[in-house]
Amino acid sequence: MSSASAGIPPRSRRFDLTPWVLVTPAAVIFLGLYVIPMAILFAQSFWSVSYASPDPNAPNSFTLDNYIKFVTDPYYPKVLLNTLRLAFLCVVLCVALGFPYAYLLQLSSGRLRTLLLYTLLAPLLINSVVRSFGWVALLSTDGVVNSALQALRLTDGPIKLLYTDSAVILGLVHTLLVFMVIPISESLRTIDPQLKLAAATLGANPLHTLRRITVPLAAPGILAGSLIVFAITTSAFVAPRILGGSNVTVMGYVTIQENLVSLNWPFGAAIAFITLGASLLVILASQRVDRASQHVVVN
Amino acid sequence: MTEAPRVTEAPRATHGAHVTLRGVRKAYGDFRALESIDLEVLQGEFLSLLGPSGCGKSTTLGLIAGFLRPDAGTIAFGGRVVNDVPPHRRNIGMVFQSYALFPHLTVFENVAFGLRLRKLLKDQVTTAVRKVLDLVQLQHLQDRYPRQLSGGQQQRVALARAVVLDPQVLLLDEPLSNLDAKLRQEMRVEIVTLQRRIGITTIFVTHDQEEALSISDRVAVMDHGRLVQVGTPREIYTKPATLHVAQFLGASNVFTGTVEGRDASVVVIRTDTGVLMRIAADLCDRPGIGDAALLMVRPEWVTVASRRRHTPKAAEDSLPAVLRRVSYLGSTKLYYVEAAGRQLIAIGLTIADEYLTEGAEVVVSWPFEHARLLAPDQ
Repeated sequence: MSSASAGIPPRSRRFDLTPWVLVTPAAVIFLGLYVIPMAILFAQSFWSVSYASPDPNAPNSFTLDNYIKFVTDPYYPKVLLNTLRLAFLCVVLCVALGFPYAYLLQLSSGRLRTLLLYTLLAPLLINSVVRSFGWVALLSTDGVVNSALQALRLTDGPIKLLYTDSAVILGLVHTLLVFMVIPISESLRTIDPQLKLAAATLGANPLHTLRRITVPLAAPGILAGSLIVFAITTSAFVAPRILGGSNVTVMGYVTIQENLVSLNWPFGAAIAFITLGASLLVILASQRVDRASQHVVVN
Repeated sequence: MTEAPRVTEAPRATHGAHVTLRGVRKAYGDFRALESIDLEVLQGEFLSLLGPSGCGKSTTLGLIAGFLRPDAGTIAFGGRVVNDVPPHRRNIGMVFQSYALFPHLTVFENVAFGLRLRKLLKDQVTTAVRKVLDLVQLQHLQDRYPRQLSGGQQQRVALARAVVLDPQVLLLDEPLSNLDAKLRQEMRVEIVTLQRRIGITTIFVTHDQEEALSISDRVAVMDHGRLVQVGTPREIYTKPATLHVAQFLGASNVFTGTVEGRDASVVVIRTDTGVLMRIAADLCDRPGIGDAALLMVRPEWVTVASRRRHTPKAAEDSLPAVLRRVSYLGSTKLYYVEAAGRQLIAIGLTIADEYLTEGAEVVVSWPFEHARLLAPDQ
């Protein structure tokens, strides 16, 4: 090396403060504004509400009632299952649409690539309430889609599109596709392009190559995208409320209901933590599956 | 006149042309990567495409493999034109520079990949994979993943995977360039041994002239998208067609000059510094008197002797020179001398040569029959 590096002392074993100093602002925000409130919320989920007292949500004795209420009530477990079902369907649909999209994105360049990226990101640039009402304008009984169908004489009367599971899934997938496409396209990018050529010399047609080389090697990206989409969907609130109405009830909605309408904060906290727990459980399970197949993943 | 016996080393191949390129052109936008290539690779032959990077050798290989389509011309395997055949139907085996092993598959699965696509029975796949892994001595590593292998082992897996399908043609794209020098030599031997054993037509792309000379039946030297010369290693080394070939294949001493005269056996060149030198005429095209000419002598033919020891011989040309530097290489010595205003290089055997010190007044000489007339580069 040149003399430029001569003045720098060799890396000492002395404790180096620099990284800790650098991480402090982020750590303070994360700890102060996220971890501590979450801890308080968790504690609150073991309190009980007493509407008789002037502050009904004041700390009081420890109880498991909120969790027991959730499990024993016929309504709430159904909402949880419905939420997980919707999340699962969103993930499946995002993979089905996101993989080809990511593949195309990876192949494209120049203007097409820019267009594809903007199309993908566009939903994120619009406020979620506005975006959902956009879907309402399209899907309602006198909306654009129904008018078009009737004008083309494909249907006699309006079809119920809005306030269905499909409408909710459509709205969610529209927004969340980007979270699936980006990780998949990242893992596609890291695949050595010569692998495809090698597969071809071994007699693999493009479909074989896709199935046996490209998809398995993109698996880490598919998994990462699925987890993100799943986590966001389980806590979604706006799209289910506006596009699903009272027909589609999800955990995000009942959480808000308990906190803002019933003012039962302890029960609301319990619902929030059950949602979080269910979501974490699914994520941990899928990571276990991933770790089991870890030897398969490119290093 | 005694004509020097022509050593023609017939390629081992006997069944005629196997891979044929006729008038093949390829351009990338404005860059003309290949300018009308004509090449015949014989059945069972080991042919190297040799040239510096950007000379078109990898493009040529890509065209033969079917990854690229020629802009013009035809590519044929055994007489059948394959221009429109996609790579997965060409029945070729290929080893890539990066090996391109499938990282999510074990050694066994990598080698079995092509066999499984052919819907062979499980037993047949296992037998075939075992056999070829045996051939490259990797049976004990069959359950490893590529990243758990050394470079040399990965290389052998790539080779096994390429030959297990019994392809018509084996294509090797600089397969040794990622290995260290010692391993490269070993793998060279292994590749040739394997190739001889299964007798497969092989096209080997390299920029390493020593590699090309040591393992090929024939070498095709490329430059700027053209095939400059095709011949046995000995032919292209001893009788290079152009200055580019001469310099690419090894050290050379080159004199520029004009043709002074010629008869049936000798062409005489007058160099730019006014020295007359001879070239055995049967080796040359027919240059006209006054034509520009290049004379080339390989350093191993050049003898360096002190002036008092030097005895002129009729069959030799010589120049007075000053010894500038001697590099001792063990069995040989490299002499860097200055003669007629230019640097010359000579190789001598350590045991045969007298001890000369740097700065000594010497005479360099060479048998004129080993001087070559080169065509100026286009």
